[in-house]
Amino acid sequence: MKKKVLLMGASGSGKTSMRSLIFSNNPASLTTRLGATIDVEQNHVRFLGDLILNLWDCGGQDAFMDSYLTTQRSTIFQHVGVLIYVFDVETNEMHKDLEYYRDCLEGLRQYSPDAAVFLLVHKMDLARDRDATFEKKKKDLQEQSDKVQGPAAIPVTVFGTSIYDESLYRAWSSIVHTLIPNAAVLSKHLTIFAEACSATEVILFERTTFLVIATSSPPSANLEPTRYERTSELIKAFKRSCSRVREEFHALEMELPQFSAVLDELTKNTYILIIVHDPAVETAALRLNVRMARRKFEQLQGLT
Amino acid sequence: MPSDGDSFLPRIQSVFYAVFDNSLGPTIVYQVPEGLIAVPPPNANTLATPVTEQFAPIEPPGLTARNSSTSLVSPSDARPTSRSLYSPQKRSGSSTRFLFNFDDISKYVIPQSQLCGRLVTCSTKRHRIIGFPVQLKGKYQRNYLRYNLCFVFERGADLSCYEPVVRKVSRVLTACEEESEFLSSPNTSPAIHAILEQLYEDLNSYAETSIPIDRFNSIELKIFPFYPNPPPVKDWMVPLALINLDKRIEANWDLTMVKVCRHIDGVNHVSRIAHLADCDLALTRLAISHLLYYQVIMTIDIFQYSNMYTLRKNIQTLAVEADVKEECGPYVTKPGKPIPDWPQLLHLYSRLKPGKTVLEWMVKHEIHELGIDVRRFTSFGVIKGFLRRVHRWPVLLPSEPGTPVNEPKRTRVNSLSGWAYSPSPVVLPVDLSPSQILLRGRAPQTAPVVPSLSPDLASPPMPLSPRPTPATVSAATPGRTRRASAAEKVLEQLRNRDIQKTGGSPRTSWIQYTDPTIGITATTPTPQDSPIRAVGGTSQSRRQSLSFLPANPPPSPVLAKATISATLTPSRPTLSPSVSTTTVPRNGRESTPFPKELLPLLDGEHHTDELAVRFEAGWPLLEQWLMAIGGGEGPGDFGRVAMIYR
Repeated sequence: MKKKVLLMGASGSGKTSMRSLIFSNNPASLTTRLGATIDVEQNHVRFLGDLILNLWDCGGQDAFMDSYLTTQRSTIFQHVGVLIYVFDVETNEMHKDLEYYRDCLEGLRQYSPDAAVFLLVHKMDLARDRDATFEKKKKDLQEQSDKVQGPAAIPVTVFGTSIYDESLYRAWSSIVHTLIPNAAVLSKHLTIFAEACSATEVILFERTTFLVIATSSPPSANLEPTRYERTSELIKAFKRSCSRVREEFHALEMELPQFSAVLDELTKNTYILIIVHDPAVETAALRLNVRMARRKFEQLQGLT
Repeated sequence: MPSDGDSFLPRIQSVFYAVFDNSLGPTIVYQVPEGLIAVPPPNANTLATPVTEQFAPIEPPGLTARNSSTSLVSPSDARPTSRSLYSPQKRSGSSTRFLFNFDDISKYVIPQSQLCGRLVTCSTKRHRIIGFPVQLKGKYQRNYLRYNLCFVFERGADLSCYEPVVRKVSRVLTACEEESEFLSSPNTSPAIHAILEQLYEDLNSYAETSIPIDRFNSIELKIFPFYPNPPPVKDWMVPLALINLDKRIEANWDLTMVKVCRHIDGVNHVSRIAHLADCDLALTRLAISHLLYYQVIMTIDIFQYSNMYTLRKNIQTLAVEADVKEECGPYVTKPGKPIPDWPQLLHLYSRLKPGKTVLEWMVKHEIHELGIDVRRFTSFGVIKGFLRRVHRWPVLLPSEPGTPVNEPKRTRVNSLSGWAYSPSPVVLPVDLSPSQILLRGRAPQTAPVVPSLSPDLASPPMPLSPRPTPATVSAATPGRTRRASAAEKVLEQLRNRDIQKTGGSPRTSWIQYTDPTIGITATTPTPQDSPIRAVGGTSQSRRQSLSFLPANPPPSPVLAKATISATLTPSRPTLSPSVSTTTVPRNGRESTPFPKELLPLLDGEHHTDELAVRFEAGWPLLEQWLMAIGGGEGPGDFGRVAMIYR
């Protein structure tokens, strides 16, 4: 199944950097070497076996934007699954940005009325007062979106992101989550699995991007809300270090006084992370469970 | 060939410099002449009168003004980048001047990385744009500087001479940018406009320019017309000067060229020139080739009274052209004689037909009385292009029905023509039954010529006819399949009749190939019983490699494919050693001795001019030889040598 994801935004707002970080696994420092995107760059990312994300990274210069809205209008805006619009938090051309944004939303409504819209306020690491800035921006954007959409409004979700921390992973995980067809089913099964392992939580990650696909139902305990994205970020950094010594990362087992964790391959394109706080449970047992559950999950993902 | 001898340089319609602006995207920074290429304004103000089509391809509904505060450089006047409202009249008034929209081609002017660093040409409906996009890595805001300096021409222009110019300009600009940030720094970038202007003016007017860029760099350009490669020069071609060569000769010219030029008079053919000028033939050919390249000479053919000419289709248009009508009379008339008028000359031209020699034509129309110089008459027609020479292409047909050795391989053709010029033997087995020849109407294919049997050749295997001779070895390549066609059967019958006429014996001893050294390798079950010489092992192998016909071809001429058949009616059992190589004892008649090397060339690939020059024989002598070869009975009858007029 193919889903078209439109990645648009002002020029220099960070679209290609995001793409490079999440989908190409480059570290954030390397993104400074990227050049400007000429017209549209298309990527096909295989996600979860049968889900292919057709990512359209659209250059943000005026000439390109004008062309997307006029000559290429139908090509760009047809069959879109998700529109991700990126705003640079530091921009001094907010007016122009918003204007283009409204036009794009119009175009989207015209050709793909069922598409989901995510707004990313990017480069949040440069904002001085992060939370306040974000809240203000979020309000503004909501207003603008409502202006365009009118009665049949598409819900718009706003995230604040930066490539230098885990916020990007959170945003993208949510985005991808909406594209996965059977997220709820996966969640249910993960919950059952968590119970079987006496685990606190079980998280399902996508193999290459390490975006969170599904999780078991959140435990009652008070856990850090940003744990998912932070885990993603940490594991990705670890994978990169492994590749630097020319080794491939396969699995991770941790036994610490506070908890035990097992990160292992579940299916061809997913990883599973099991966190257990019960000291009696051994990691070997967890791995055994993973082995036994593998087939079921493969079936769920339609791989068998 | 262009009549003026010069190649035409297309005119530059516009030169522009485009850059990828970090916020505007691909934009034209400067263009000369101004305003010819439409650039969409950054603000499309809905309050203004709807813009003309040139400005925006589609006017989207509700496109409001955008507050753009950026602009790369102060643009030229016509570029509508300022935010002020334009008077609609101004825009619509200049709309007719626009060549095209930049939007249409912007993706080829500033393309993706894969196309950068290559010459990129794109076309719009009426124009062609050639440029060399550059992606320069450096300390720029977005890590790369992308730019392109393009030239705009008419769509049908031939841009081959501008390609090196575009490349060089780009190279020089890149070097300047790398050294001193010439293109990106705001101090020096206005100089680009001046450069564009100078390029536009100088290249159009003088086809060369020299533009200093800064203290160390300059653009030096000169456009050289791009001529195509000349056709190969053959020995029998006659060069004719189109300009006064003697006036152009300078002291530092190549010696051969100087010597050769003196003898170019429209009468001497290349090998004659080589002889007269006392130069090596190969060098002479090269010199003529050079002159052809620069289009200062043209080639016509050797004039003989036995030539045949015919009118070409373009006579319809050329007959009414003033220069043809006026020049013909004075050119063709002998001095001191009254000049005939054009209708009369045209009538005479139309009487030239293939099959009728010039001599016959002269006699019939009493050209002599008219005082027309026939050589100039025919050469005038050839030069102007409405008359063309009809060559004779002799093909030697096999004498027997079953003879042909066929080389079904099509690849033979190449080897055959190559073979003509080299002494290497072998006949290219071209097979083709005469029927094929006739059917195709193209000489080369069918001549069942005898394989080269020059004495100097090692016994080449003979492809050929299936003559049965147990003595012969070299079986031809085995397993060639032959298919007889109905036409072939008819031909066979005809040939049978021929044979009857000539006494039945296929042993047309004229087969020279009865050279004792030549082995006949065919072993075909022909009725002939003449002994065939066995071929030595070498010839055998050679034959194999040539893939000659199978040893036992069926009696009927079967030709799998038409290729040049250089097979002689083989099986000439007549290859008996008793036959002298040069005589053709045919039915006991005396014949003119002819050179053995001639035989292989009778495959339809070489016309009589070529043969004449090669053997240094005029047509009368050549005619006699051909009659001797073909066993003709009287004048005009070439016997087995078929003449193709083409």
